[in-house]
Amino acid sequence: MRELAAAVYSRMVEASHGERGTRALRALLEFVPAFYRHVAPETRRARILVLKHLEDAPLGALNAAVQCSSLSHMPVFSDDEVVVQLLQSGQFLVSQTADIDPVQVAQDCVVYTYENRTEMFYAGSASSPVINPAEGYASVFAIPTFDDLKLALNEYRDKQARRTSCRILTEAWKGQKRIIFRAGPEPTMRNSLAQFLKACLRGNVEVRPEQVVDDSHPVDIKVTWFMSNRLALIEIKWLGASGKSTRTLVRHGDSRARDGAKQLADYLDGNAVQAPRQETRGYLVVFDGRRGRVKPWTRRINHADGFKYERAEIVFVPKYHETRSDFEVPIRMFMEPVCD
Amino acid sequence: MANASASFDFLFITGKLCARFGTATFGEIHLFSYLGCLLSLFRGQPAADWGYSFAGLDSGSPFSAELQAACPDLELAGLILGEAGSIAITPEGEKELEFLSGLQHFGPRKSYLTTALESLLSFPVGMVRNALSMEPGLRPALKVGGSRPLLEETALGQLHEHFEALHSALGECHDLLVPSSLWLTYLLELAKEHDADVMRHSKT
Amino acid sequence: MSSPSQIRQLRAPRILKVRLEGFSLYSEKKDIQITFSKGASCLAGANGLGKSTFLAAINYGLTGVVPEPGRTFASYGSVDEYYKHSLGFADKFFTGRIDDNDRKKAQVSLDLQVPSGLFAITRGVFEREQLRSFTVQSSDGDGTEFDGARLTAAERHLRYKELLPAQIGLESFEQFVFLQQFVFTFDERRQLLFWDQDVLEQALHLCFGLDPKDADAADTLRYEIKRAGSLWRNSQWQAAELRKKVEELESALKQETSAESLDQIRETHDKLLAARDDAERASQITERERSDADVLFAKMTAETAALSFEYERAFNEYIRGSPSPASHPAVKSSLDEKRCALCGEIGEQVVEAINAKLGSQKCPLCDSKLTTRARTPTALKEIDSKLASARDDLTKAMAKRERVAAEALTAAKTFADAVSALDRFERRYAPLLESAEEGGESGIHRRIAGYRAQINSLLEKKQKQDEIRQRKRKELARLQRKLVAQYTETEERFVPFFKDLAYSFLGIELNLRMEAKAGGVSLIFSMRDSPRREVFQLSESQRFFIDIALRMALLKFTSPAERTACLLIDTPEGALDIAYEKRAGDMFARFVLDGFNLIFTANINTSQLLLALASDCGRSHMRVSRMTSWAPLSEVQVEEEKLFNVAYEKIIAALEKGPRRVGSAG
Repeated sequence: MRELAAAVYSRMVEASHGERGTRALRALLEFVPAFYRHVAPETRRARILVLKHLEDAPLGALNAAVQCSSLSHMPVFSDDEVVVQLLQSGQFLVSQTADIDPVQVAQDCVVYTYENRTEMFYAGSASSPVINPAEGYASVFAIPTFDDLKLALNEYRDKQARRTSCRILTEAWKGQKRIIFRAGPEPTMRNSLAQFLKACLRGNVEVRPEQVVDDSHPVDIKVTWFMSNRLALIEIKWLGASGKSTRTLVRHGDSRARDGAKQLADYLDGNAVQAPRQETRGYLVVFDGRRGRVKPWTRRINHADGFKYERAEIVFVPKYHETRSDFEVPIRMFMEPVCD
Repeated sequence: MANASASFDFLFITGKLCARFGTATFGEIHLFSYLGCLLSLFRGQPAADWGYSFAGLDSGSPFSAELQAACPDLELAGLILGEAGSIAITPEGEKELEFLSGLQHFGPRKSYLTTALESLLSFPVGMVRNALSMEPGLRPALKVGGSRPLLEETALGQLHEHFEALHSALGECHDLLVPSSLWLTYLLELAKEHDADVMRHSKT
Repeated sequence: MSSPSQIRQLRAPRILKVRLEGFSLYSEKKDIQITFSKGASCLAGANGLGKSTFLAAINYGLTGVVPEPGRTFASYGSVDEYYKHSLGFADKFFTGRIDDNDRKKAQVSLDLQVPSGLFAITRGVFEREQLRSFTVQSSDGDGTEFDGARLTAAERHLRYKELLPAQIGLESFEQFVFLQQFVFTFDERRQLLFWDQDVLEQALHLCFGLDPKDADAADTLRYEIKRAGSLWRNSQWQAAELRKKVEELESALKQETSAESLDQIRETHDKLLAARDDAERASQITERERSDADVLFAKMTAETAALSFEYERAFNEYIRGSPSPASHPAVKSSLDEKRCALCGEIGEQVVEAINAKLGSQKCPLCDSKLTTRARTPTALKEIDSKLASARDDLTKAMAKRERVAAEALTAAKTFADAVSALDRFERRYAPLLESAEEGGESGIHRRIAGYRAQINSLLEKKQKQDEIRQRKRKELARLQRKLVAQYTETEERFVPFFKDLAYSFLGIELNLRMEAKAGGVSLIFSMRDSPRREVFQLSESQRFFIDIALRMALLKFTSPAERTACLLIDTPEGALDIAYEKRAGDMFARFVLDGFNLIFTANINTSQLLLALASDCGRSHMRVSRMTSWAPLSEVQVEEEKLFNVAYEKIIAALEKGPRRVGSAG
């Protein structure tokens, strides 16, 4: 616990600046997540720096800054560094030209910096890194929170699966080019999605990845809502090639997705018999890692082959999502390779 | 007759969550009231002083019957609105909350609940829940299954071990936010290990 | 040759009939009546059927006493003391043998033949020194001479105690009790005359001494001698203790006796005393404070609890105070489902109607005007601040209580320490302190002188007791000599009785003589001219029967021509080999055929003794009653009953055949 204590920035701030410091810290912690809803940190190459002065004195370096009263009225940012000073009034100063050394200003301020997925807090003569427990998000303050499962799954598809931003998910691939899956990538995929949902889904939800993986238990993730009889069953299927050795590959095409749909539908039926009072919805999630012309020894891929299936929507027959009220539209998550 | 402390907590937490998210959910209300209670224990208050008891459900979530029982009364009084599992505070409710927050009786618990909710400054709510499922009282419910009462002898003992470690790692701390953050960070590490274990076992 | 008038005559009563009622021990036969004919009456049974109890009951009826086993006669000191102190034991003895619900019923009735007629008594088992009935019929047959019906139970018993010894020729009832229990009865206590000095001497006085008053006097003297001895020892010991004290003081004197150190000691002592007193006061004060703090804490706790409860109520009233009908679940669901929750009507009109009412500020259910009843926070605010201050006070009270408790503990410890320090000091310097109180060295000397005076007076006392002892011993010796003289005069009549009986049993000639020694008077018998003083030279069973022989001889000696005496024997079992058993039977037969009465118990199937006795006596002189039907038999006993029956038949057969001539007594 002691090592962790060193990384708890609130402690550092209290130790350096006392009560004023923690008040300033709270102000920063309110501001930064809201800021990231407008400016996604992973899109920034240059540093983001946000500070609050203990005496609320505007820094000299910011005298050319723009004063904003709300986040929706911020200027459009260039790729340069962004510096923000929070004021007591609730307004804040924004500048992209100020040159600030966080260590220096930390004597009278509490400073937060973000640079290339690394975040720090400075206060007094001390500094503390921010531990980001969530894989795949640039900043812990940029982790969204969803009320709705469908929205969450869409976010996962766009932000995590597409470019395999989630560190857990990278384990599913054999090699860095993301051409071929490792043998048995299902648990990894399941884990990655489960972790994501656990972090992002709001309030009521308990996510429990199923331990047993076989065809009799096609359901990978169960989501329940507190004090309600709602139940979501998520089934995961992957498409593409996976291989342990360099000789053979296991390939799955879109028929696998259709099989998955059927399995899910059957399971929903079975569940309805066992627990008729439950309001259940089934979600089929398809990790699409299909590539063109992949052989067991393929190490590199060009754009054409790599992105061949980018828009290859799966045709489902029967269309359970149209005939059944408890069957959601399947979500296909195309996973981009690294091409030459 | 609903428990005054439970009614206050319900309203207070709902108010804060609505300010942040627009609505509150039952799970979050129970979660933060339990975290508030744990923080009061950290400060040396006896568990009985919190005013109502908790049980751990086999999903690893905390639940208080008294807290839940406060909901219909508050609804009937027009202070909150409940719809399909989402709770919102009414303007009437906000007004009353302001008044009740001024009562001395609720002073101490207000500070514990506030700090509990401030965990949302550092972590998304899912992470707070994840972290808390590793708390010595809730963890067995998650691992072994079956609901059980919380804050019992054995769990309290282990909890105090955690607190001892926190005290020795941090020394004197005025702001409760500091130990609260450290503890949640620590519990998240435990959660990570737990998940890694589960992953390993499912692979074989 | 001695004349009959010079021989002691004890006209012992003859037991004619006994009746036991309410004896739960004999559960099959709660009302037992046995008539004893002249001669031998045998009660035959098995072990555990209550043979000893039967004899004890008879004796109890006669005397009102059951002897306490394990206590020697010497431990009582005298015949009177024996009677007095044994009265309590009967209760204990019979309690185990009689059920609680039979206690009132249980009684022993006896018909006794005495010189002047017939005594009939009934004694309640649990009634001490009382008789339920007592009648005397004169032998002239002219009706009842005395009927105790008009008297109280205690008065009856008093009368009995007067009349019976007079009939027998004894000085007191206590003497009778002694004789009956120690001489005329041989029971499971196995009290042996020959080998118990104190009993024997007493018995000899009563049997050979011409004047029963002498026996009484001797008894008293023995008692007084003992007492003088113990007083002597007491004084001795006290004097020794005082001498020790004197030595202590003298050695203390030899230590620091300078005036200075005495002053120092006194000063230190005063300081320690003061310290202790202070500590005691302080402890008392803190103790009071502690108890006050406890009370205050309890009070605050109760107050806080009461206020908390009130708070809950106030809070609930406040919250519930102004409900908003629109939020009521019934109204909400009606609106949501477009279905009236009360009457079930479905449709838009339901919604419209409800909203209309709400819109015009009317209650949808009862039409009352909906006043926006604002909540009144005053009550809640009041209680809130009361509760907050009560909590405050409680915290303070708790802190105070803890603090005060700690203080009380410390003060108590200080007090305890002061006490023990003072104690240690006092013990060490006690004599010096005492002298210091009395004014120094001279004080010590005075004390020594005082002790010496006490010692002297004790020595005087000792001397006196010694004198008393000597005096009394002389007197006792005189009486003993008198006894020996009386014995010697009559021994030519007595000794043959014993020899005959003993010979028929042992087959060896035993000689008997009386000896008076410092320890007292005793009878010594010798075998073939070597004295058998040592008990171990005869086997135990042989000793029993020799002792029985002595009693028989005594009875014979003291009986007048009308031989009424009854010897009660609880026959000792086992350890006699068959030859001796038969001889024992012959010995008994001798006694019986001589005209005496024997009431005895025996184990049916072990006894050659019984067979021999039966053969010798025949029906005319012996009767056998079976006890086996009195109480339920155990499994073992049931199995043995077949053997009983065989043995019994044998005995009956022998009775039929007899008597066989054994030889008459001289």
